Amino acid sequence: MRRLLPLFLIGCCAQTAVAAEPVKLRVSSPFLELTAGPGRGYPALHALEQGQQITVVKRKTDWFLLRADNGTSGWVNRDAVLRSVQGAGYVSPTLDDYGARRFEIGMMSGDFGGAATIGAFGAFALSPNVSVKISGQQILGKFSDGWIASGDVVMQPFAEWRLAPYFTLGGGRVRSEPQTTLVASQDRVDDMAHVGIGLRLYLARRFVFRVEYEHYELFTSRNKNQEIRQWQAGLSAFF
Amino acid sequence: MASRPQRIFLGPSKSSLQVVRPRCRGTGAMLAAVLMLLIGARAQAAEAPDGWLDSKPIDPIEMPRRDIKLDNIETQDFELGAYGGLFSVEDFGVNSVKGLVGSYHVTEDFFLEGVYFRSTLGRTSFERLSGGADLLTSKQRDLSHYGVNLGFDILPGESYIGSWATVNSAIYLVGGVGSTDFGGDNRFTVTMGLGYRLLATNWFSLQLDVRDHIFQSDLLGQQNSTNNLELRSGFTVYF
Repeated sequence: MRRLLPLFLIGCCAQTAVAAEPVKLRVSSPFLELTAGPGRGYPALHALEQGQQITVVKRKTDWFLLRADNGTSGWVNRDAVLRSVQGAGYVSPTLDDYGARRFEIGMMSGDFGGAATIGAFGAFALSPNVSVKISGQQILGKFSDGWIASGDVVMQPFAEWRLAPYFTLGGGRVRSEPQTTLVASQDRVDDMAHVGIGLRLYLARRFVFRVEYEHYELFTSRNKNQEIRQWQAGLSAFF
Repeated sequence: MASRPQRIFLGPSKSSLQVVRPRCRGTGAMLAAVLMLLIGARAQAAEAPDGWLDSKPIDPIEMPRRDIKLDNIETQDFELGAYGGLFSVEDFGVNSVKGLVGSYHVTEDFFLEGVYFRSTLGRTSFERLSGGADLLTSKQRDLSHYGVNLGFDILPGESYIGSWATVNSAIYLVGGVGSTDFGGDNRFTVTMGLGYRLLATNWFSLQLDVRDHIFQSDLLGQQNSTNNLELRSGFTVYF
Protein backbone atom coordinates (compact mmCIF):
# COMPACT_ATOMS: atom_id res chain seq x y z
CA MET A 1 0.00 0.00 0.00
CA ARG A 2 2.80 2.39 0.96
CA ARG A 3 4.52 1.80 -2.33
CA LEU A 4 1.40 2.70 -4.18
CA LEU A 5 0.99 6.00 -2.41
CA PRO A 6 3.51 7.98 -4.44
CA LEU A 7 1.55 7.04 -7.53
CA PHE A 8 -1.50 8.51 -6.03
CA LEU A 9 -3.82 11.05 -7.26
CA ILE A 10 -4.90 13.79 -9.09
CA GLY A 11 -3.64 15.55 -12.10
CA CYS A 12 -4.89 18.97 -11.77
CA CYS A 13 -7.11 20.66 -14.17
CA ALA A 14 -7.62 23.46 -11.75
CA GLN A 15 -10.15 25.80 -13.15
CA THR A 16 -9.14 28.72 -11.02
CA ALA A 17 -7.33 29.42 -7.80
CA VAL A 18 -9.97 31.86 -6.61
CA ALA A 19 -11.25 30.94 -3.18
CA ALA A 20 -14.93 31.28 -3.90
CA GLU A 21 -15.00 28.71 -6.67
CA PRO A 22 -14.74 25.02 -5.93
CA VAL A 23 -11.36 23.47 -6.64
CA LYS A 24 -11.70 20.74 -9.25
CA LEU A 25 -9.06 18.09 -9.61
CA ARG A 26 -8.61 14.89 -11.48
CA VAL A 27 -7.42 11.57 -10.10
CA SER A 28 -4.14 10.64 -11.73
CA SER A 29 -3.27 7.54 -9.75
CA PRO A 30 -4.70 4.14 -10.71
CA PHE A 31 -7.25 4.50 -7.92
CA LEU A 32 -7.92 6.61 -4.85
CA GLU A 33 -9.60 5.48 -1.66
CA LEU A 34 -12.12 7.72 0.10
CA THR A 35 -12.55 6.98 3.80
CA ALA A 36 -15.61 7.44 5.97
CA GLY A 37 -14.09 9.97 8.34
CA PRO A 38 -11.31 12.52 8.71
CA GLY A 39 -8.84 10.35 10.58
CA ARG A 40 -6.77 7.21 10.66
CA GLY A 41 -8.67 4.00 11.04
CA TYR A 42 -11.90 5.00 9.34
CA PRO A 43 -12.85 2.39 6.73
CA ALA A 44 -12.51 3.12 3.02
CA LEU A 45 -15.99 3.52 1.54
CA HIS A 46 -15.33 4.24 -2.12
CA ALA A 47 -12.55 3.98 -4.64
CA LEU A 48 -12.23 6.51 -7.43
CA GLU A 49 -10.75 5.61 -10.79
CA GLN A 50 -8.01 7.32 -12.65
CA GLY A 51 -9.29 10.30 -14.55
CA GLN A 52 -12.41 10.84 -12.47
CA GLN A 53 -13.12 14.48 -11.73
CA ILE A 54 -13.47 15.48 -8.09
CA THR A 55 -14.31 18.61 -6.13
CA VAL A 56 -12.52 19.53 -2.91
CA VAL A 57 -15.32 20.41 -0.52
CA LYS A 58 -13.68 21.20 2.81
CA ARG A 59 -10.82 20.46 5.16
CA LYS A 60 -10.82 19.14 8.74
CA THR A 61 -7.36 19.21 10.35
CA ASP A 62 -5.20 17.36 7.81
CA TRP A 63 -8.01 15.69 5.88
CA PHE A 64 -9.85 16.85 2.77
CA LEU A 65 -13.42 15.98 1.91
CA LEU A 66 -13.62 15.14 -1.80
CA ARG A 67 -16.74 14.69 -3.86
CA ALA A 68 -16.74 12.90 -7.19
CA ASP A 69 -18.99 13.91 -10.05
CA ASN A 70 -21.01 10.74 -9.62
CA GLY A 71 -21.97 11.85 -6.11
CA THR A 72 -19.70 9.65 -4.00
CA SER A 73 -17.74 11.51 -1.36
CA GLY A 74 -15.19 10.76 1.33
CA TRP A 75 -12.05 11.89 3.09
CA VAL A 76 -8.46 11.79 1.86
CA ASN A 77 -5.35 12.62 3.87
CA ARG A 78 -3.46 15.77 2.97
CA ASP A 79 -0.27 13.85 2.15
CA ALA A 80 -2.08 11.76 -0.44
CA VAL A 81 -3.56 14.88 -2.02
CA LEU A 82 -0.29 16.82 -1.99
CA ARG A 83 1.80 14.06 -3.49
CA SER A 84 -0.18 14.21 -6.65
CA VAL A 85 -0.81 17.90 -7.17
CA GLN A 86 2.23 19.66 -8.53
CA GLY A 87 2.68 23.10 -7.06
CA ALA A 88 -0.19 22.61 -4.65
CA GLY A 89 -0.64 25.68 -2.51
CA TYR A 90 -1.34 24.00 0.79
CA VAL A 91 1.68 23.39 2.98
CA SER A 92 1.15 22.93 6.66
CA PRO A 93 2.93 25.55 8.76
CA THR A 94 6.50 24.89 9.86
CA LEU A 95 9.06 26.45 12.16
CA ASP A 96 9.91 28.92 9.38
CA ASP A 97 6.40 30.27 9.60
CA TYR A 98 6.98 31.01 13.27
CA GLY A 99 9.56 33.59 12.24
CA ALA A 100 7.02 35.12 9.88
CA ARG A 101 4.18 35.14 12.40
CA ARG A 102 2.10 38.26 13.05
CA PHE A 103 0.05 37.19 16.04
CA GLU A 104 0.33 34.63 18.75
CA ILE A 105 -2.38 33.73 21.25
CA GLY A 106 -2.13 31.27 24.08
CA MET A 107 -2.91 30.29 27.62
CA MET A 108 -0.66 29.59 30.57
CA SER A 109 -0.99 28.21 34.04
CA GLY A 110 1.42 28.18 36.93
CA ASP A 111 2.40 29.28 40.39
CA PHE A 112 2.52 32.91 41.55
CA GLY A 113 4.19 33.12 44.96
CA GLY A 114 2.33 30.03 46.17
CA ALA A 115 -0.99 30.73 44.47
CA ALA A 116 -2.18 29.05 41.30
CA THR A 117 -2.65 31.19 38.20
CA ILE A 118 -4.54 30.73 34.94
CA GLY A 119 -4.07 33.23 32.19
CA ALA A 120 -4.32 34.10 28.53
CA PHE A 121 -2.12 36.28 26.36
CA GLY A 122 -1.97 37.78 22.92
CA ALA A 123 1.24 38.95 21.24
CA PHE A 124 1.94 41.00 18.15
CA ALA A 125 5.29 40.42 16.42
CA LEU A 126 7.13 43.58 15.42
CA SER A 127 9.90 41.45 13.96
CA PRO A 128 10.84 37.75 14.22
CA ASN A 129 12.82 38.63 17.35
CA VAL A 130 10.76 41.27 19.11
CA SER A 131 7.09 41.20 20.00
CA VAL A 132 4.72 43.06 22.30
CA LYS A 133 2.43 41.07 24.49
CA ILE A 134 -0.58 41.73 26.70
CA SER A 135 -1.79 39.21 29.20
CA GLY A 136 -4.42 38.72 31.86
CA GLN A 137 -4.15 36.17 34.64
CA GLN A 138 -6.38 35.07 37.43
CA ILE A 139 -4.76 34.33 40.79
CA LEU A 140 -6.35 31.53 42.78
CA GLY A 141 -4.69 31.40 46.17
CA LYS A 142 -5.48 29.74 49.44
CA PHE A 143 -5.97 33.03 51.24
CA SER A 144 -6.54 35.50 48.48
CA ASP A 145 -7.63 35.69 44.88
CA GLY A 146 -6.99 38.36 42.33
CA TRP A 147 -5.76 39.13 38.90
CA ILE A 148 -2.70 40.35 37.04
CA ALA A 149 -2.85 42.57 33.95
CA SER A 150 0.41 43.11 32.16
CA GLY A 151 1.98 44.57 29.03
CA ASP A 152 5.37 43.16 28.02
CA VAL A 153 8.10 43.32 25.45
CA VAL A 154 9.38 39.86 24.50
CA MET A 155 12.80 39.37 22.93
CA GLN A 156 13.71 36.15 21.14
CA PRO A 157 17.26 36.40 19.84
CA PHE A 158 17.11 32.92 18.30
CA ALA A 159 13.58 32.73 16.92
CA GLU A 160 14.68 30.26 14.22
CA TRP A 161 15.62 27.58 16.76
CA ARG A 162 13.17 24.83 17.56
CA LEU A 163 13.97 25.15 21.27
CA ALA A 164 14.78 28.79 21.94
CA PRO A 165 15.23 31.02 24.98
CA TYR A 166 13.41 34.34 25.31
CA PHE A 167 13.39 37.30 27.66
CA THR A 168 10.54 39.45 28.88
CA LEU A 169 10.29 42.88 30.42
CA GLY A 170 7.01 44.46 31.37
CA GLY A 171 4.73 46.25 33.75
CA GLY A 172 1.15 46.30 34.87
CA ARG A 173 -1.13 45.88 37.83
CA VAL A 174 -1.82 43.21 40.40
CA ARG A 175 -5.06 43.12 42.32
CA SER A 176 -5.47 40.91 45.34
CA GLU A 177 -8.77 40.10 46.99
CA PRO A 178 -8.47 38.30 50.31
CA GLN A 179 -11.00 35.52 50.72
CA THR A 180 -14.28 36.36 52.30
CA THR A 181 -13.87 33.74 54.98
CA LEU A 182 -11.01 35.80 56.40
CA VAL A 183 -11.97 38.86 58.37
CA ALA A 184 -11.21 42.54 57.98
CA SER A 185 -8.90 42.51 55.04
CA GLN A 186 -9.06 44.90 52.13
CA ASP A 187 -8.72 44.51 48.40
CA ARG A 188 -5.50 45.92 47.09
CA VAL A 189 -4.32 47.10 43.67
CA ASP A 190 -0.60 47.57 43.15
CA ASP A 191 1.48 48.64 40.18
CA MET A 192 4.22 46.22 39.30
CA ALA A 193 7.15 45.63 36.98
CA HIS A 194 8.62 42.30 36.06
CA VAL A 195 11.47 40.64 34.21
CA GLY A 196 11.50 37.07 33.03
CA ILE A 197 13.23 34.35 31.11
CA GLY A 198 11.61 31.48 29.26
CA LEU A 199 12.08 28.57 26.91
CA ARG A 200 9.92 28.15 23.84
CA LEU A 201 9.53 24.81 22.06
CA TYR A 202 8.00 24.60 18.59
CA LEU A 203 5.72 21.55 18.63
CA ALA A 204 4.06 21.14 15.24
CA ARG A 205 1.88 23.03 12.78
CA ARG A 206 0.90 26.29 14.48
CA PHE A 207 1.66 25.23 18.03
CA VAL A 208 4.23 26.25 20.56
CA PHE A 209 4.88 25.15 24.13
CA ARG A 210 6.63 27.42 26.62
CA VAL A 211 7.89 27.48 30.18
CA GLU A 212 8.82 30.73 31.89
CA TYR A 213 10.04 32.26 35.10
CA GLU A 214 9.12 35.81 36.04
CA HIS A 215 10.33 38.01 38.85
CA TYR A 216 7.73 40.60 39.95
CA GLU A 217 8.35 43.76 41.91
CA LEU A 218 5.10 45.07 43.44
CA PHE A 219 5.14 48.77 44.29
CA THR A 220 2.96 48.62 47.39
CA SER A 221 1.72 51.52 49.45
CA ARG A 222 3.74 50.17 52.35
CA ASN A 223 7.38 51.04 52.98
CA LYS A 224 8.80 48.03 51.27
CA ASN A 225 8.20 46.69 47.80
CA GLN A 226 7.00 43.14 47.57
CA GLU A 227 8.85 40.60 45.46
CA ILE A 228 7.03 37.65 43.98
CA ARG A 229 8.25 34.82 41.75
CA GLN A 230 6.17 33.13 39.14
CA TRP A 231 6.64 29.88 37.25
CA GLN A 232 4.31 28.98 34.46
CA ALA A 233 3.87 26.80 31.41
CA GLY A 234 1.47 26.97 28.52
CA LEU A 235 0.47 26.41 24.94
CA SER A 236 0.03 28.93 22.17
CA ALA A 237 -0.85 29.13 18.50
CA PHE A 238 0.60 31.60 15.99
CA PHE A 239 -0.88 33.09 12.85
CA MET B 1 8.91 8.16 -11.63
CA ALA B 2 10.42 10.12 -14.50
CA SER B 3 7.18 9.76 -16.38
CA ARG B 4 5.08 11.34 -13.61
CA PRO B 5 4.79 14.86 -15.06
CA GLN B 6 3.43 13.51 -18.32
CA ARG B 7 1.03 11.30 -16.48
CA ILE B 8 -0.34 14.20 -14.52
CA PHE B 9 -0.72 16.41 -17.54
CA LEU B 10 -2.56 13.80 -19.44
CA GLY B 11 -4.99 13.52 -16.58
CA PRO B 12 -8.21 12.37 -18.20
CA SER B 13 -6.68 9.79 -20.46
CA LYS B 14 -6.69 6.19 -19.44
CA SER B 15 -4.42 5.18 -22.27
CA SER B 16 -0.92 4.03 -21.55
CA LEU B 17 1.89 6.53 -21.72
CA GLN B 18 3.48 4.93 -24.77
CA VAL B 19 0.37 5.45 -26.79
CA VAL B 20 -0.25 8.93 -25.62
CA ARG B 21 3.18 10.44 -25.62
CA PRO B 22 3.51 10.86 -29.41
CA ARG B 23 0.21 12.72 -29.45
CA CYS B 24 1.57 15.00 -26.79
CA ARG B 25 4.76 15.66 -28.72
CA GLY B 26 2.71 16.34 -31.79
CA THR B 27 0.74 18.97 -29.95
CA GLY B 28 3.95 20.51 -28.69
CA ALA B 29 5.41 20.63 -32.14
CA MET B 30 2.26 22.20 -33.50
CA LEU B 31 2.24 24.82 -30.80
CA ALA B 32 5.87 25.50 -31.46
CA ALA B 33 5.23 25.81 -35.17
CA VAL B 34 2.43 28.32 -34.63
CA LEU B 35 4.64 30.33 -32.36
CA MET B 36 7.44 30.21 -34.84
CA LEU B 37 5.14 31.50 -37.53
CA LEU B 38 4.04 34.32 -35.30
CA ILE B 39 7.48 35.49 -34.34
CA GLY B 40 8.87 34.36 -37.69
CA ALA B 41 11.83 36.43 -38.72
CA ARG B 42 13.09 37.15 -35.27
CA ALA B 43 13.26 33.51 -34.28
CA GLN B 44 15.19 32.67 -37.41
CA ALA B 45 17.62 35.45 -36.68
CA ALA B 46 18.61 33.48 -33.58
CA GLU B 47 20.14 30.93 -35.97
CA ALA B 48 19.78 27.74 -34.01
CA PRO B 49 22.48 25.39 -35.32
CA ASP B 50 20.37 22.23 -35.54
CA GLY B 51 17.10 23.62 -36.83
CA TRP B 52 14.19 25.38 -35.18
CA LEU B 53 13.29 22.60 -32.75
CA ASP B 54 16.37 23.25 -30.67
CA SER B 55 15.53 26.86 -30.09
CA LYS B 56 12.66 25.62 -27.88
CA PRO B 57 10.37 28.61 -28.01
CA ILE B 58 7.95 26.76 -25.83
CA ASP B 59 8.05 23.45 -24.07
CA PRO B 60 4.59 22.08 -23.37
CA ILE B 61 5.84 19.78 -20.63
CA GLU B 62 7.36 22.66 -18.69
CA MET B 63 4.40 24.96 -19.06
CA PRO B 64 3.82 26.89 -15.85
CA ARG B 65 0.93 25.59 -13.81
CA ARG B 66 -1.47 27.40 -11.63
CA ASP B 67 -1.09 26.66 -7.97
CA ILE B 68 -4.04 24.96 -6.42
CA LYS B 69 -4.69 26.91 -3.29
CA LEU B 70 -5.87 24.18 -0.98
CA ASP B 71 -5.30 26.76 1.76
CA ASN B 72 -8.41 28.50 0.53
CA ILE B 73 -10.63 25.49 1.05
CA GLU B 74 -13.23 25.96 3.73
CA THR B 75 -11.97 24.46 6.98
CA GLN B 76 -13.97 23.00 9.82
CA ASP B 77 -11.52 22.88 12.68
CA PHE B 78 -13.61 24.88 15.14
CA GLU B 79 -16.50 23.58 17.18
CA LEU B 80 -18.97 25.59 19.27
CA GLY B 81 -21.88 24.35 21.32
CA ALA B 82 -24.03 24.29 24.41
CA TYR B 83 -24.94 21.65 26.94
CA GLY B 84 -27.01 20.88 29.99
CA GLY B 85 -26.61 18.33 32.72
CA LEU B 86 -26.15 17.53 36.36
CA PHE B 87 -23.38 18.75 38.62
CA SER B 88 -22.68 17.20 41.98
CA VAL B 89 -20.79 19.50 44.33
CA GLU B 90 -19.52 17.82 47.47
CA ASP B 91 -21.86 18.63 50.42
CA PHE B 92 -24.13 20.77 48.24
CA GLY B 93 -26.15 18.10 46.47
CA VAL B 94 -26.77 17.48 42.80
CA ASN B 95 -27.94 20.44 40.75
CA SER B 96 -28.59 21.31 37.14
CA VAL B 97 -25.82 22.83 35.08
CA LYS B 98 -25.80 24.79 31.79
CA GLY B 99 -22.68 25.47 29.79
CA LEU B 100 -20.97 26.61 26.63
CA VAL B 101 -18.08 24.82 24.99
CA GLY B 102 -15.74 25.75 22.14
CA SER B 103 -12.98 23.60 20.66
CA TYR B 104 -10.22 23.83 18.14
CA HIS B 105 -9.11 20.60 16.53
CA VAL B 106 -5.35 20.76 16.19
CA THR B 107 -4.84 17.37 14.58
CA GLU B 108 -7.10 14.43 13.93
CA ASP B 109 -6.27 13.25 17.46
CA PHE B 110 -5.87 16.34 19.63
CA PHE B 111 -8.11 19.29 20.38
CA LEU B 112 -8.05 22.30 22.68
CA GLU B 113 -11.25 23.13 24.48
CA GLY B 114 -12.61 26.08 26.42
CA VAL B 115 -15.59 25.57 28.72
CA TYR B 116 -17.85 27.89 30.72
CA PHE B 117 -20.73 26.66 32.84
CA ARG B 118 -23.07 27.82 35.61
CA SER B 119 -24.95 26.02 38.30
CA THR B 120 -26.72 26.82 41.56
CA LEU B 121 -25.81 25.01 44.74
CA GLY B 122 -28.36 23.31 46.98
CA ARG B 123 -28.33 23.26 50.78
CA THR B 124 -25.92 21.10 52.70
CA SER B 125 -27.28 18.47 55.08
CA PHE B 126 -25.79 20.55 57.90
CA GLU B 127 -27.95 23.49 56.89
CA ARG B 128 -31.05 21.34 56.63
CA LEU B 129 -30.54 19.62 59.98
CA SER B 130 -29.58 22.70 61.94
CA GLY B 131 -32.82 24.30 60.76
CA GLY B 132 -31.82 27.87 60.05
CA ALA B 133 -28.21 29.00 59.97
CA ASP B 134 -27.30 29.04 56.28
CA LEU B 135 -23.64 28.76 55.35
CA LEU B 136 -24.03 30.73 52.16
CA THR B 137 -26.21 33.56 50.92
CA SER B 138 -28.28 32.87 47.84
CA LYS B 139 -25.84 34.88 45.73
CA GLN B 140 -22.96 32.78 47.03
CA ARG B 141 -24.79 29.67 45.85
CA ASP B 142 -24.39 30.73 42.24
CA LEU B 143 -21.53 28.75 40.83
CA SER B 144 -19.62 29.53 37.67
CA HIS B 145 -16.67 27.75 36.15
CA TYR B 146 -14.37 28.35 33.26
CA GLY B 147 -11.58 26.10 32.12
CA VAL B 148 -9.27 25.13 29.31
CA ASN B 149 -8.63 21.51 28.45
CA LEU B 150 -6.58 19.41 26.13
CA GLY B 151 -8.53 16.56 24.54
CA PHE B 152 -7.42 13.37 22.87
CA ASP B 153 -9.63 11.14 20.72
CA ILE B 154 -8.70 7.72 22.02
CA LEU B 155 -11.30 5.70 20.14
CA PRO B 156 -12.33 7.30 16.86
CA GLY B 157 -14.59 5.17 14.72
CA GLU B 158 -18.14 4.57 13.65
CA SER B 159 -21.32 3.85 15.57
CA TYR B 160 -24.29 1.98 14.18
CA ILE B 161 -27.79 3.15 15.04
CA GLY B 162 -30.03 0.17 14.51
CA SER B 163 -29.73 -0.98 10.95
CA TRP B 164 -30.53 2.33 9.32
CA ALA B 165 -27.65 4.65 10.10
CA THR B 166 -23.88 4.58 10.39
CA VAL B 167 -22.35 7.70 11.93
CA ASN B 168 -18.84 8.76 12.78
CA SER B 169 -18.11 8.91 16.47
CA ALA B 170 -15.26 9.16 18.95
CA ILE B 171 -14.55 8.50 22.58
CA TYR B 172 -12.18 11.11 23.95
CA LEU B 173 -10.27 11.97 27.10
CA VAL B 174 -9.90 15.51 28.37
CA GLY B 175 -7.75 17.08 31.05
CA GLY B 176 -7.11 20.66 32.01
CA VAL B 177 -7.24 23.50 34.50
CA GLY B 178 -9.80 26.11 35.34
CA SER B 179 -11.38 28.30 37.96
CA THR B 180 -14.59 27.61 39.87
CA ASP B 181 -16.30 30.54 41.57
CA PHE B 182 -18.79 29.99 44.39
CA GLY B 183 -19.18 30.77 48.06
CA GLY B 184 -17.45 34.11 47.51
CA ASP B 185 -14.26 32.51 46.34
CA ASN B 186 -12.46 31.43 43.14
CA ARG B 187 -11.03 27.94 43.33
CA PHE B 188 -8.24 26.61 41.15
CA THR B 189 -9.72 23.53 39.53
CA VAL B 190 -8.21 20.50 37.85
CA THR B 191 -10.56 18.77 35.42
CA MET B 192 -10.46 15.23 34.03
CA GLY B 193 -13.07 13.58 31.93
CA LEU B 194 -14.26 11.13 29.36
CA GLY B 195 -16.65 11.91 26.53
CA TYR B 196 -18.46 10.44 23.57
CA ARG B 197 -19.06 12.43 20.39
CA LEU B 198 -21.55 11.40 17.72
CA LEU B 199 -21.30 13.23 14.41
CA ALA B 200 -24.83 13.33 13.06
CA THR B 201 -23.53 15.17 10.00
CA ASN B 202 -20.14 16.60 9.07
CA TRP B 203 -20.98 19.81 10.91
CA PHE B 204 -23.30 18.78 13.76
CA SER B 205 -22.40 16.59 16.69
CA LEU B 206 -24.03 15.30 19.86
CA GLN B 207 -21.93 14.83 22.96
CA LEU B 208 -22.12 13.00 26.24
CA ASP B 209 -19.52 13.75 28.90
CA VAL B 210 -18.54 12.79 32.42
CA ARG B 211 -16.09 15.14 34.10
CA ASP B 212 -14.47 15.30 37.49
CA HIS B 213 -13.66 18.81 38.76
CA ILE B 214 -11.21 18.71 41.62
CA PHE B 215 -10.83 21.78 43.83
CA GLN B 216 -10.07 22.75 47.40
CA SER B 217 -12.93 23.75 49.66
CA ASP B 218 -12.96 24.94 53.26
CA LEU B 219 -16.62 25.87 53.50
CA LEU B 220 -17.34 23.21 56.09
CA GLY B 221 -14.47 24.18 58.35
CA GLN B 222 -11.64 22.05 57.06
CA GLN B 223 -9.62 22.66 53.92
CA ASN B 224 -9.86 19.55 51.81
CA SER B 225 -9.74 18.47 48.21
CA THR B 226 -13.16 17.69 46.73
CA ASN B 227 -14.16 15.62 43.70
CA ASN B 228 -17.18 17.08 41.95
CA LEU B 229 -18.74 15.07 39.16
CA GLU B 230 -20.51 16.57 36.19
CA LEU B 231 -22.70 14.53 33.84
CA ARG B 232 -23.79 16.34 30.74
CA SER B 233 -25.07 16.11 27.20
CA GLY B 234 -25.14 18.71 24.48
CA PHE B 235 -24.53 19.57 20.87
CA THR B 236 -21.85 21.38 18.91
CA VAL B 237 -21.63 22.85 15.47
CA TYR B 238 -18.44 22.70 13.40
CA PHE B 239 -17.35 25.70 11.41
